[in-house]
Amino acid sequence: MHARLAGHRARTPISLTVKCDRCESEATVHEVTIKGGKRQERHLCESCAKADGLPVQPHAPITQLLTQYITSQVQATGLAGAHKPTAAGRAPPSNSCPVCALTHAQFRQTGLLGCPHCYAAFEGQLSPLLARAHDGGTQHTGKSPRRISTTQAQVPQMSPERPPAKAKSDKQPAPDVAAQPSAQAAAQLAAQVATQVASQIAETRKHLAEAIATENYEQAAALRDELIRLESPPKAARKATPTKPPAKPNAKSAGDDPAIAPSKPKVKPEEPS
Amino acid sequence: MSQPSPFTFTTAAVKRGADWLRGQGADSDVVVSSRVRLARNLVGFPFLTRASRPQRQAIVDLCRERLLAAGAIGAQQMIWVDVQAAPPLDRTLMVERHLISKEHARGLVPGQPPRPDAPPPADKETNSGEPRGVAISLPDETLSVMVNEEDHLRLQVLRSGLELSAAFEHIDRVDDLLEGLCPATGGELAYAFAPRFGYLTACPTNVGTGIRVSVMLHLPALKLAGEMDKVRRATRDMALAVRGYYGEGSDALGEFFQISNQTTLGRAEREILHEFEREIIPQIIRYEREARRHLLEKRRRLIEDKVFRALGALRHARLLTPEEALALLSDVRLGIVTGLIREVTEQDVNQLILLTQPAHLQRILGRDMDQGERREARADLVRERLAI
Repeated sequence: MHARLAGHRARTPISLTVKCDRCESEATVHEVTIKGGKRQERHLCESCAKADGLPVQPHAPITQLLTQYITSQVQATGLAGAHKPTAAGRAPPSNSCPVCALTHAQFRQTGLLGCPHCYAAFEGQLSPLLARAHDGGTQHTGKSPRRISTTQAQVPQMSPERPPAKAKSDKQPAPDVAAQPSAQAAAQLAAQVATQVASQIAETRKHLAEAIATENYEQAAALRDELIRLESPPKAARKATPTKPPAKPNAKSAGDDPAIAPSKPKVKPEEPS
Repeated sequence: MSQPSPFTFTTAAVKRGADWLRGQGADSDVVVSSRVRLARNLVGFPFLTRASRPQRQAIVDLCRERLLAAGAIGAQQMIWVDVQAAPPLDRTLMVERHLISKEHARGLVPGQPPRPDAPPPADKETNSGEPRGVAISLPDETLSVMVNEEDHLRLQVLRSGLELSAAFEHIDRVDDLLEGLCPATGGELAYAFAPRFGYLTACPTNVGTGIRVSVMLHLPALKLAGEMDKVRRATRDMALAVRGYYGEGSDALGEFFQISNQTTLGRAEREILHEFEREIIPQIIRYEREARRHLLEKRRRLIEDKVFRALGALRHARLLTPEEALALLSDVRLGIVTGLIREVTEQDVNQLILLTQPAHLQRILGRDMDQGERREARADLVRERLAI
């Protein structure tokens, strides 16, 4: 029998008969690295991959990915010891989430984040990890909540535009905050958001004071900018340019990524049914 | 202290089996079931790794109320099971019925040690005592929503056969309902979300859509033809995971394989779904059917021997381990789908796979049994169900 699965999508062409770069065996471990904009591919059989220290498990647990990533980072920057776990609450603030105080070392141990804000706090460390775990994916696309939660307003580094609502065959696309069905609902929502933003402002002020006290000026600057944004009128806040540019999406996603297009949110064309 | 769970699976409910095992739906000769799950977290609470006990309890209280209300609005009867207080047998029953995960039954956030402030429960080996629960749709058990598993909410729809689109429409509706329930209850569940990262989850491997699409396949012919390694490799290359009957960490017993997506960031739900439903799974189905045809043409006697020998063993065995029962039932299922065995249906086999699990056997017989007793009871039950 010659059952073969043909390639399903351009991103990961499938070939079942790739030979190992080193020997005649069939390659089962495939590695793609992009170094200085140059793409390098390696195809190895399990034993050659093992000999090279590559993980032969196709989907290494996130903790393993993390360990590998951190190790390579530590080696590259000579920061050995910088990521050593420290006693709870004693971690350097730049290496912990300002909201839940989870340290990067704790995240590394469990592979689990502490709160929604951790995504912004660890964005730099998470980005390459996410790209590895999600087959190169770096920008969300698909469904978004009917109401964009205030999490969005709380995270300065994140992209200012929400992705387009996913087209649904049986109903209208998820409405924007501005497109609530009734004026009453909109007013209710506005009041609710205002309360949440107010508490967020108080929280951010607290963190800013802490950051200044611990002489963490980089974080303090980010928090200050976030405060300015939070205190500006809500509409402007949503459209404001983030204080830090969002992490650069990779070249692949930049071209076709509707979320970074400055135009009005548009509905993704209906997928073929 | 929490009250004991008011809901328990009765013997009758347990015997009836679950709807997703009815052996119907598209391509049910190869596809046992389709599952779609969504991971969601609430704004205003840390993830469970950092949540205090009162916060965990608050999440449970909030979600229970909304879930029961959502059930009413969606015209579906939803019951709530307080997993923290549920007896060990009920918890295992729910795992066997794929309504909750093993981790949820134990109450541990994966990778986390038991919390120091957790009260020592009577059965601390199997129950952390952490506040958690699950809402289940009855009587079909198609929808279940775990509260306080790895994420605050894990919604799941499970259907018989290749029914991913229908499963997604269902879960999407429930997701919207939970989020949009404001008028009567005075507030809705606000999900943690960020435009770049999508729905925010405790584990970065689930962030984005938070969707996990899984299909349980029965691939006995590909296994016999020695083609499973190719399927495994191909699915791996497509960033998919291949697991056994009971998900992560379980072996592919009895030639049942679960295939699921790993990528949740950068690909829309429907994109993943369509790829599964229109490309990946149909291809595997085709290969399996082709392998079945080939085996019947070239090695008919061998297949006949295998499937009828299995049926004979099941009809006459006096002791059965769970592994042996599953392997034999898998062979019988091959006999049914190839038309060799006509007196037993796919549904009979699917149901028996469930009913011969340890907790099910004990609930059906109404008593605790050790491993040896269960072997006897398992063989008795199978003989009774497959009697000529």
